[in-house]
Amino acid sequence: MKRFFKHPMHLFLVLIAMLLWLVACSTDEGTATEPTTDSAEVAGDMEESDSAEDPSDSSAAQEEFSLQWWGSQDRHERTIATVELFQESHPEYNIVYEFVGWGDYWTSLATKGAGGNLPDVIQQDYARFFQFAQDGLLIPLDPYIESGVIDLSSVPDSAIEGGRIGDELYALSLGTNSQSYVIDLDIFEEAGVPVPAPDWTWADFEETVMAIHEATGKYGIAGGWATDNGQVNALYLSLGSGFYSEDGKSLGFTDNPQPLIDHYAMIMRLQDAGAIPHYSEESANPSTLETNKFVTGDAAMYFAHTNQFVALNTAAGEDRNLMMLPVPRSVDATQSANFLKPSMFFSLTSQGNNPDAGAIFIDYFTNSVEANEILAAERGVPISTAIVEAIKPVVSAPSAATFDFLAGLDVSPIRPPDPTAHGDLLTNIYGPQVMEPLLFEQITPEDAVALLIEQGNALLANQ
Amino acid sequence: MATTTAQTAAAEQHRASERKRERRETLSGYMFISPWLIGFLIFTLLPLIGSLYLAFTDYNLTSAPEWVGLQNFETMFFNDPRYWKAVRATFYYVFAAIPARLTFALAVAMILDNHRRGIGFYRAAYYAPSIIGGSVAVALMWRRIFASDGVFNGFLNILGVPASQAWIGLPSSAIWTLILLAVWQFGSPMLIFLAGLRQIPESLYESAEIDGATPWRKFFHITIPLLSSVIFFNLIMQLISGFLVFTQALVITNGGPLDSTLFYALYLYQRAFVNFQMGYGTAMAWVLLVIIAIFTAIAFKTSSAWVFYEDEG
Repeated sequence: MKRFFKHPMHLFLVLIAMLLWLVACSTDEGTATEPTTDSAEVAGDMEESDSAEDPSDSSAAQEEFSLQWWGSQDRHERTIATVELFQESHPEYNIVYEFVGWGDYWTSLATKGAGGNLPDVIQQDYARFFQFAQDGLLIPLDPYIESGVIDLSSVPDSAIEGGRIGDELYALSLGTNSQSYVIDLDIFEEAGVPVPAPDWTWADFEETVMAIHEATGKYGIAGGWATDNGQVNALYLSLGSGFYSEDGKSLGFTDNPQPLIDHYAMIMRLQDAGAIPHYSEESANPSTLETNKFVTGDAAMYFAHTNQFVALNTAAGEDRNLMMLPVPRSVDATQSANFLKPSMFFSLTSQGNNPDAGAIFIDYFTNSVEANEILAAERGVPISTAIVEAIKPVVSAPSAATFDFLAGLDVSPIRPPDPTAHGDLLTNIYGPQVMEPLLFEQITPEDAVALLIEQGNALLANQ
Repeated sequence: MATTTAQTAAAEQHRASERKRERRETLSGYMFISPWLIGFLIFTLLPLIGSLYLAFTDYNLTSAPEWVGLQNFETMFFNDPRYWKAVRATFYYVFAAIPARLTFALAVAMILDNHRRGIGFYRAAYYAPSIIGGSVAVALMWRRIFASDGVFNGFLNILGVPASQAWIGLPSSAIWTLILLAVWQFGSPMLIFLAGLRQIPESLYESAEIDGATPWRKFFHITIPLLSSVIFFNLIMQLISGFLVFTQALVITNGGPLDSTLFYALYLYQRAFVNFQMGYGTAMAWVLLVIIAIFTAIAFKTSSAWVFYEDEG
């Protein structure tokens, strides 16, 4: 070794390597300025040689802002097209965008937030924006609304209510949606099973799933549905409660566990009969919007949010006859199991470099007819009534069907936002300790509900 | 008399210059490793100290860490059933996958330890899986192989065994698909075994053969003792990497089903980057460090009994 370093040639090579390393490290900073000098030079060359009338120095003066969202492939394509349209009409701006799936989105935002690098505009969720605002990561939109940068003149107040904390608006809704059971009318017809009424119950649901399975051999409903806690929320909403109590300090069914026990027992009956995919299948190959058994034509129903109806139709193909139904109710229901909620929001962050430009983009997203024709209500029915009127005649049939479905939907009042321990409860208790042991027949429905109430309430009391 | 003084003076001078040279060499040595040293201090040691502090806090990444004392450790040991499932799954994996991988690696190394034509090609071919084995692409492929309509079931069906299970979706078999993946990545220990095997003098085998030793006897009385230091090295390295298993479980099973593949590092990641409980995550990481340190220490302590170093005579 000693000899190795003594040789001048080796010393030289090591130094060169270190130099290269340093250069590689510093290029990150360099690239930010390079394009401006390059384009300025190009513009200068043009003037000299062609004496062009319009020396395009716009790129040199371009303002940059960043945008991040989560979603499916369909949303990515629509949003990117919208971003490009915005840049065409606003050549002074350059949007740096990034998109990921739901799960990675929050990891990405949290790490960026910790490093002080949040994008200017971020897509937000009803369950999370409160925490973000509390941590000082968001800035209120009210100044932009007052100054008219964000025009909400054709937006009813009820549509933006969900994004308020106190008197300040921290998140602007991108659309309204609800939950639904999407059915494949062709499979229903093939099975000779009547299409359920809008006020159908879980008893009707079980009957329907079994009838379809017996008649066609297909699954009554695609996987991923049974473990979704939204079903439990809907079940109890129809009884006047919800997954969480009003104050979020306990589970909403602590005093009335029987409907949930019956619900779990029904899931087990359906799984035993083979009328729904066995959980081991789901666990080995989790359903996604693009690849689930409903899209492939092997299941008659799929649980989805109404805004997903557009992407679901895209994934399933043009020739399918899909239709939305409301969520089934409890047999003892006193009200609808559906509620309207802001599907997602845009927020401006306090760490962004250019919130003013971000606000202009949010306004464009909300009020541009051309943009909303591309977006096609994929994020839910637009909050601007003028936009809904304008795009309804031109959007595709699935988007129009979503408008009609939500307009005619019987809904209950929305529950308060999920408590902060929601994610912890789902990933550490509800999935691994309740639903999985239940679906692998290690515990009974009674034990599953008892364990959920005991562990869940302990966590919620301590948050 | 004069000559002896001159001699001692010369010797003294020689020793001084020797010391000076040594100092210079030491200094230039440090100079040469300084890029690494500075990197280690800034990017490893500082975060390490930071994480030790975070282990005693409640920290969600975006609001300031809040000191909670030993609460994270208390929750971990007494109030978190999933933590013990994670410990159990990790031990199960380490004690099944590591011996299997080392045995397999040694067997393949023995086969490849010859001088036939084209042996270089075979060595490269057998090493290849471990280059790509840790990648996400292979993990995704693995998931397809063991799916209900995957290649593995197709193979069983050809053999006349009817099978339609989703092996990755069943609590009893999911972890074994990951263990199998670990064994399949035998390349790097194999390469080290191969190098070790080439060091064993041929003459020992020749004289054993003259004495009429069977192949088994040669293996247990020449190969294993002379290879013991290499085995020991591989064992330590594999033990450490075994406890840190992450990517495969994240991509193939995501810890399921029923937490049967919820490896320690994966659960740590979920707590830290899915639930944003950074304090709890770092506390888990420090406990893992202690666990690995204990096992490494045990291996070192017992090594004097079974590891043979040639230079000890």
